[in-house]
Amino acid sequence: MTAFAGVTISWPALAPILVLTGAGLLIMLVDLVSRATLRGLLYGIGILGAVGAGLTMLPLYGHSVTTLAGAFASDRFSWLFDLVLLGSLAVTLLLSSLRRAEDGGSPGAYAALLVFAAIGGMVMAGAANLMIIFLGLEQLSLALYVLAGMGYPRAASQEAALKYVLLGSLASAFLIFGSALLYGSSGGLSLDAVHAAASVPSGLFVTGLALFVVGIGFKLALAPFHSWVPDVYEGSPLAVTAFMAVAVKAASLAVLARVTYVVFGHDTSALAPLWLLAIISMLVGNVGAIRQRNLKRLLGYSSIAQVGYMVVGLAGVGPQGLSALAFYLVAYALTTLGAFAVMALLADGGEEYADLGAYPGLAARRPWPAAAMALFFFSLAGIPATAGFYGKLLLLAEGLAAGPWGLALDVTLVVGTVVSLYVYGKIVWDMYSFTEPEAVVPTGNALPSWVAVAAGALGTLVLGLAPQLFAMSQPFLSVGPR
Amino acid sequence: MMTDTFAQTAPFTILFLPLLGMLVIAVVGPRVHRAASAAIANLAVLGAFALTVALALDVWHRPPSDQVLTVTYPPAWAAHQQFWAHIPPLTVSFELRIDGLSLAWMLIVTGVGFLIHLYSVGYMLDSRWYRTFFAYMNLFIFAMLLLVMAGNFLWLLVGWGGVGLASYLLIGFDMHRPAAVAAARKALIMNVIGDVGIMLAMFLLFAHFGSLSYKEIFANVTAAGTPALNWIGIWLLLGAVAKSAQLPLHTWLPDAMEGPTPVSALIHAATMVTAGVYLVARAHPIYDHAPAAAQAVAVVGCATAFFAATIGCVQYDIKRVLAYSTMSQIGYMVLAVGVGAYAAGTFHFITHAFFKALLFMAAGIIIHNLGGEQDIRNMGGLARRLPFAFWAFLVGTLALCGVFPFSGFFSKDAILDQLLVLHHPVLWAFGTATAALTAYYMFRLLFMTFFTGGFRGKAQTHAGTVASMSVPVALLIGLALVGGWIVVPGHDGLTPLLRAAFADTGTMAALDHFSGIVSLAALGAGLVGFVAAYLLYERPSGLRPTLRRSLQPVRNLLANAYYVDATYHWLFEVPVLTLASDIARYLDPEAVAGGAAAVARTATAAGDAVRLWEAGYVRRYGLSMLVGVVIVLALFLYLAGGTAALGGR
Repeated sequence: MTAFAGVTISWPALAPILVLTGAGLLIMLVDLVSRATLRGLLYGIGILGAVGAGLTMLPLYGHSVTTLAGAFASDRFSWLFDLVLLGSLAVTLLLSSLRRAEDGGSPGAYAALLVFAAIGGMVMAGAANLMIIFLGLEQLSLALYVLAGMGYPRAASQEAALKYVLLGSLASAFLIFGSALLYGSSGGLSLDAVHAAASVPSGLFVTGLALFVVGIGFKLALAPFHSWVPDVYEGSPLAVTAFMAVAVKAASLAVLARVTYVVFGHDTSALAPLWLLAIISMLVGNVGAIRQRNLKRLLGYSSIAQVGYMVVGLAGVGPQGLSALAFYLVAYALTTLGAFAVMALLADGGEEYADLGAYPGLAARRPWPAAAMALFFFSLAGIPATAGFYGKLLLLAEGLAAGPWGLALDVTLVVGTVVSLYVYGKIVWDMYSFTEPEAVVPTGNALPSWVAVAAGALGTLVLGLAPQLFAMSQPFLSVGPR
Repeated sequence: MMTDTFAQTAPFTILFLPLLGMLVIAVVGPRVHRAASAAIANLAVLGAFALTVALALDVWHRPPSDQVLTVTYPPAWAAHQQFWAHIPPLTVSFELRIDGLSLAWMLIVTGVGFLIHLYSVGYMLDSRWYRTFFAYMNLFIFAMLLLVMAGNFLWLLVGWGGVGLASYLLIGFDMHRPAAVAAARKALIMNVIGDVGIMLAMFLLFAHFGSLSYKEIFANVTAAGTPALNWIGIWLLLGAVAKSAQLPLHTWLPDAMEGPTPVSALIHAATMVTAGVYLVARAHPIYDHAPAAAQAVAVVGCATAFFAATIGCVQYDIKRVLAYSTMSQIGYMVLAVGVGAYAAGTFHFITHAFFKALLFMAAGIIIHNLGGEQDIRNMGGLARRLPFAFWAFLVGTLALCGVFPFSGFFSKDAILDQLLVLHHPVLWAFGTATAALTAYYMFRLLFMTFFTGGFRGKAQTHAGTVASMSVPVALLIGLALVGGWIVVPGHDGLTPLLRAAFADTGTMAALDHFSGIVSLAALGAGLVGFVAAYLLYERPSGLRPTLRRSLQPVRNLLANAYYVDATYHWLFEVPVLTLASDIARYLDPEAVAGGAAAVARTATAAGDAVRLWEAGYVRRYGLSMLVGVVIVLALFLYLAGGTAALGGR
C-alpha cells in the first residue's frame, strides 16, 4: 500500500489491470517497429497479457480490498467477472489472429484496442463509484466503436460502427445524466453514498436510477434498448462480435449486479421495472431469433434473451442469486464464444460462415465442428448435460424465491426456452438432416480456432456434467451493503 | 448383501451399454462397413441382456427381504449426502431401482429387443440409413431401460421422454414419405400430452412428499391423504394412457405403423407401449390408496380392450389389425393393474411381448416378400408360398387367442380369473367378450392372408428370408409356445419373483389359481369368434354379403375407428391452424411475403451507411429507445410511490 495525495493505493489489487495495460502498450510499441510477418506476435502479446493478468489475480484470492478511496473494489465478485473478461479477450485474440490484411485495419491497432476494451470492462467490474463506472464503460465502448468498423472494406462494418457510436452515445448520455441525478440526490459518488439515499427515495433519486438503468440496459441490450444489436453484430468483424456478445455483457452485468446489491441490498423491489425489461428481452430475443437467416444476427437476438435470463439472478435475493447469475454468465460465455469460434473455424479468416443456408448437411461434411456447434446450441437452449441447463435451473430456483415478479420471470424464462428450443433445434436438425452436400465443404482447420472451440466445448461439458466444480462461487460475494 | 460389487455395477453397465452402442455407431459408424454398425448394436443389446440375466439370478437368489435394490451413482455420493441436483428443498440422486418388476421389464426389453435387433439386420438391409436405424434402436433400448430402471420419478420421466423421442425418430424413419412424418409428429404430440400428465403428478408428489424418490414416497404414501393420491393417480394415468395408446389418446398407434416393421414389433407392440402398465404397477402403493384413480385405470383399460378389438375386426392393413390388437391386449394389462392384479398384468406383458413380436415379425416377412404390400385384400393363399411365415403367424395367433397350451392362454386367463376373484364381474364379462372379438379378427386376418382362395395380389417379388430374420422368429415361436408355462396350475413361477416388489400391496394373489369356468368361458368365447371368422371367410355363402349390407353403418363406424380422429381434427387442428394463419396474415405480413422481403433486406444492407442514416433507420432505433426511456422512467416513478415520493427530498 502506498499513499498518493492522501489516497491509499493497493497495488496488488490493481495489478491485473496494470499488467494488461502494459501488454496493450507493448503491442503498440512492437507494432511501430515490426513487419507484417510479425502479425502473430501482436496477438500473442495480448494473449500472454491476459494470462499474466489472470496469474496476478492468484495472490489476491481471499483478500478482498477496496482501494482508491473506496472507488475500486477487488473482491471475489470482481475476480469472477475479470476472469470471464480475460477469457473472452484471449479467445477473441485467438480468433482474430486469422485476420488477413485485406480484412482492414492494422493488426496492432486492432489487438491493442481489444486489450484496452477488456481493461475498460475490468474497471467496470471493480467500480464502486459512479464516476469509475462511467470511465470504464466509456473506455470499453470507445474501443469497441472503432473495432466494429475494423472490417471497413465491407460496407456493413462501417454501417455497424456508425450505428453503434450514434446509439451508444445516446445511451452514455442517459447514463451520465442518471449518475448526475443520483449524485445530486445522495450527495456522493460512491455506491455507499447512493445506498444511504436509497432508504428514502426522492423523485430525483428515482429518476436518476431509471436513467442509469437505461444506460446500462443499452449496453446489455435489454429490450427495448436492443434495436442496434442485430445490425451491429452482423456488421462487425466476427471476433469483435464475439467479444461484444460476452465481454460487454459481463462488464455491464457486473455494474448492474454491484449497484443492485450495494444500493438496494435485500429489498430490490424498487428495481421492478428492470424485471419487466428482462421479461420483454426474453420474449423479444427468442421470438426475434426465429426468422433470422444470419447466424451472427441470430446469436445477437439470442444474447438479448440470455441477458434477460441472467437478470432473473438479480431478482433473486442475496448471494445465492448472484451465484446463479455468475454460473449462468460463465456458461453463456463458454457457449457463445464456442459458437463464434466454430464460425471462425469454418470461415477460416475468409468469407464469414454466417449464412444459415450453409449449415444444412454440415454434419456429413464436417462432423466435429457440427457436433461442437450442436453442443453449444444445446447449451444455449438449456438441454441437460450442458452448462446452460444447470444455469437455467439455478436461475429458475432464484426466481421462485423472489415473489410474484420472480414467478413472472420464471414463467417467461420457460416460455422463452421453449421458443429457443425451436430456434436452435431447427439449426441442429438442419445440420444433421440427411441433405445431400450441395455447398462446398468448408476447409477451415486453423489451430487457434480449434483451441477456442475445444476450450468452449470442454467447459460447457464439464460445467454441465459436474456443476459442483463451480462450488467455489457458492459462498459468494462480499459486496453486500456495508 | 446390498453393497456387493456386482449388484452395484451391473445395473449401470446394463443401462449404458446400449447408449454406448449408439455413440460408437454415431462416431465410428461412417468410417467402417455398415455391417459393423449392426454388429455393434446387436452386441450392445446382447451384452445388456446377458448382464440382466445374471443380475436377475443374483437378485432372485437373495432372501425376499433383500430383493429390492436401490443403487445410487456414483456410489460414494449416497454416503456423503451428495446429489446429482441439489436445489433446496429438492434433491435428486441418480438412483436405479432393481426389483422383480423392473427385472421383468428389463429382461423383455433386452431379450426381445435383441431378437428384434437381429431380425432388423436382414430386414433393413435395403435401407439407405442402415447405421442410423441401429443407432436409433440402441437409443430406444437405452431410454426404455432408463424408464424401467429409474429409482425416482425424475429419471423415469427422462426415460419416458427418451422413448417418446426414439419412437418419433423411428416412426418417421422413412422421412421421404409424408405419411410417415405426419404419423411421427402425431405420436410425439400425443405422447407429450402424457408427459405433461406425469409432470403434473410429479409436482403434486413433490408438494406432498418433498421428494421424487420411489423409496421415500412409497414409504409414507398414506401421509398425503386419499384426495391428493387420487389426483396423482389420475395425472399418472394420463401419462400411461398416452404412452400405452389407451382411450382417448390412442389414435397415434395405428398411424405409427408407418414405421419399419421391426420398429412396430419392438416399440409399438412388445415394449414401449406397455410403459403405461409398468407405470401403474410401479406406482402401485399410490393406486392401492387411491380407489377412484385405480377404478379409472381399470375402466380405461377394459374400454380400450373392447373398443380396439371391435375396430380391429374391419381393418384391411395387416399391421393396423395387429396395432389395434396391441391396443386391445394392453387394455387387458391396464385393466389387470387397475384392479390390483399386478402379477397378472406383468405376466400378460411378458407373454404378449413374445407372441406380438412374433406376429409382427411374421407380418414383416410377408411384407418383405411382397415388396411392401400390406393390404390383406391383395394377399391370400400365402400358406403355401410362405410356409415359415404361416407357421409363425399361426402360433402367434393361437397364443394371442389364448388357446391351450400356448402362452396367451395362461396369462389371459390369469387376468380374467383375478377379475372374478377380486369381484369385478362386469369387467370380466367385457374381458371375455373381447376374447371372442380377438379370435374373430385374428382368424379373419389369418384366413384372408394365408387362405381364402388363391393369391390376389400382383406378381410378387421374392426378397427371400435371410437367416438373421428366421432365427429370431423361430426362437419366438418357441417362446410364444412355452412362455406361459412358468405359471401352470399348481406351480406359480412368477409371483415369488415379483412378491418382494409388491410386498406392500394387499391384493397380490398367486397366479396358479385356475377356475375351470373362467377358462371354459374364455375358450368358448374364442371358439365363437373362430367359427364366425371361419363361416364368413372360409365358407363363401350368402351370409357375408347379407351381413355386409345390413351392418353397413356399423362397419363405417368401425372402419373409421369411431371417428375419433375426425373429431380431434375438427376440435383441435382446424381451429388452431385457422388461428395461426390469421395471425400470420394480420400480424406478420413479412412471413407471407417471406422471400421477397429477405432479398430486399439483403440489398438494402449492401447500401452504404449514409443512405441508411438518411433513410431514417438509426433515427428509428433512437426513437424506439426514447420511447423505452419514457416508459421505464414512468414505471420507476410509479412504483416508487408516485407523487408522494416526488415531494420527498
